[in-house]
Amino acid sequence: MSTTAVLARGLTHARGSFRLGPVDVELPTGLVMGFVGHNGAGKTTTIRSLLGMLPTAPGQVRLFDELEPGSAQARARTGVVLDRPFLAPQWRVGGLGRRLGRFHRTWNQSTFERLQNRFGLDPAARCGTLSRGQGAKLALALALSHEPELLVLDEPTSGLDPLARQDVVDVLREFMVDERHSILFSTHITSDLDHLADLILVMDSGRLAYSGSLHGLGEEFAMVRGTGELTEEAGRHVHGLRRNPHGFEGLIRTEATPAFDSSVVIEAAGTDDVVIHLARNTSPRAEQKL
Amino acid sequence: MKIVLSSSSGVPLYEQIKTQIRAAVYGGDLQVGDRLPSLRQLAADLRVSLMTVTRAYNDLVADKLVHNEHGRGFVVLEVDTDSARQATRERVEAAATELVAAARGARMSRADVDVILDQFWSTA
Amino acid sequence: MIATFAAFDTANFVVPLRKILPPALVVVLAAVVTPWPVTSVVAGAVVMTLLAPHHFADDERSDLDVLYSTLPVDRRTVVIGRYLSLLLVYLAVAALATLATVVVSGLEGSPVPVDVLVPAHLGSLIFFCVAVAVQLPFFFALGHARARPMIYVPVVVLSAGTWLLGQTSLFDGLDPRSVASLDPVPAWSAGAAGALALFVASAAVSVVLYRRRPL
Repeated sequence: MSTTAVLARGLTHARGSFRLGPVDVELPTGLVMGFVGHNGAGKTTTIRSLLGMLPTAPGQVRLFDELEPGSAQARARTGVVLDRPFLAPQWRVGGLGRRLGRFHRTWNQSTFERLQNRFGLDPAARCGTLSRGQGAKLALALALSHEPELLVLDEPTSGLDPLARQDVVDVLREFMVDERHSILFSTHITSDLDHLADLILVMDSGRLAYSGSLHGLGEEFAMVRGTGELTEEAGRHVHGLRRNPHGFEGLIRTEATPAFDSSVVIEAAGTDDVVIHLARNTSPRAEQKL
Repeated sequence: MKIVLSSSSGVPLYEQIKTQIRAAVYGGDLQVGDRLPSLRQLAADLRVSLMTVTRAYNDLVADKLVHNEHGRGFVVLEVDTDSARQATRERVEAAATELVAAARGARMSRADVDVILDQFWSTA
Repeated sequence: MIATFAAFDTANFVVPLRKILPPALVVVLAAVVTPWPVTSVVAGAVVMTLLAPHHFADDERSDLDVLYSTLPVDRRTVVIGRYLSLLLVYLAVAALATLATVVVSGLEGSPVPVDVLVPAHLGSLIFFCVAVAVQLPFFFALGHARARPMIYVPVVVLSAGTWLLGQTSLFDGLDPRSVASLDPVPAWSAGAAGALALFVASAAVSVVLYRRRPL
């Protein structure tokens, strides 16, 4: 069993005017890591780089301790679910086992059928006729049926109704009961993280704003709210400052608390708070008037 | 042992898990030598992250309530009966404090509270 | 794995059958409609040359490149498998064309034109191999949508190159009569061998380009 499912050091990517990185990712085997960030923050670019779909420098990314991303062995041990389906619309759900299973040494047809059943997928349906939710479930069923150790999902629950979301998350939980399994998933639905992720990576405009445990996020960041004036010095520490007729609010790092006096309220920040307020600015000085 | 978590109580999840396991041990639901559910199975059953359960279990180990036995998992240790009794009494006292406060807030008399207590005592 | 992928790719190419039916029909009709049934062989090559980019277009529409990158087959296998599947389907079309030629000739009561059939097959193979060898590296490097306009570049380059070569003294010594007296089959065979070599070289180039392709 490998110790580290995913290890990336100094990952960078450039496309047009978008610059990613350098980004470090370390997912020990047996844990769940969530990527959050606003749209366009670089989550998909990071994921595709980790999977070898986007070119990376040799050694920059290591899967299962020693494998290059994109190598056949790494792919055999990784199950992938992306935000868009990658199946031909005329293929039938039931036939996918035969069609794709022959590529995998570890394909388990009974797992595939069991999951089809559990997700309520009609084997005679053509892939092109599936709803978004059904497509996501089918992708997950396919990814799990070759018994991977690592599941990588890019926005697996976006666009899904609450029932479908819970179905997907339940299956992910069962996957994690095995200690050799790991999950890496990106989402902009932060409630998905709260009860599933052990580690979290917050991305903001191509950079890492935070990397660590989910608990640690609440300890690292805090929300500050006040009715009075904000001093120049204090304002420097605030990310995504919002003003309204009653006062102001913004995100700070907890270590900046001494810069504020007792007229403000400081409390732990939730994941949403962090993502939103980091996204609202590129530097702590930018302001938003409401 | 049944654990029920509240996501809106403001008490961290790992804290709730710890409290309820401790109550189960002191209350006799868990005997000395009993095995706690595996980290991962409990995480999946309670729908929380692995780290949440790990933190709770680690705290219980530090409190000397359970012991991580190689090969068996987390096992309940010999419980100090005096502190166990004290802990369960404290639970009742805490519940009583809340009950009194709620009754006062609703302007109920001692007699009204007795009626309610009778009702619940017989059904529990 | 190459065989597995080639089989998978061929199946995607020809199934559902309604995809391959119109081209097959064109090949058969060429034998029936034109004065020389052997035209169907040439029609087969033209049709396959048009179908090859279409296969890439279908893949791109369904994001199948991404699918391939999640299967435990490396990019080299995908490229070689694709070249093989195109060749396989070409051979099937060529067989159909031969059948059509033979049947129609028989129905018309004329002898099967074997002496024209062989050079026709070799010539068609050359045409198909060269056309595909020139186009495919672009599709693998850029994907169908971005490569399509670029396809004209090699056509222009080839035409210009041929014209330029003609302008040099390379062909000056060639006497048309001596060319005509050459036994055509060895000449066509040499050409076909060259075209197949080009086909293989093109696959090697495509492997390098596809490996670098961002998905």
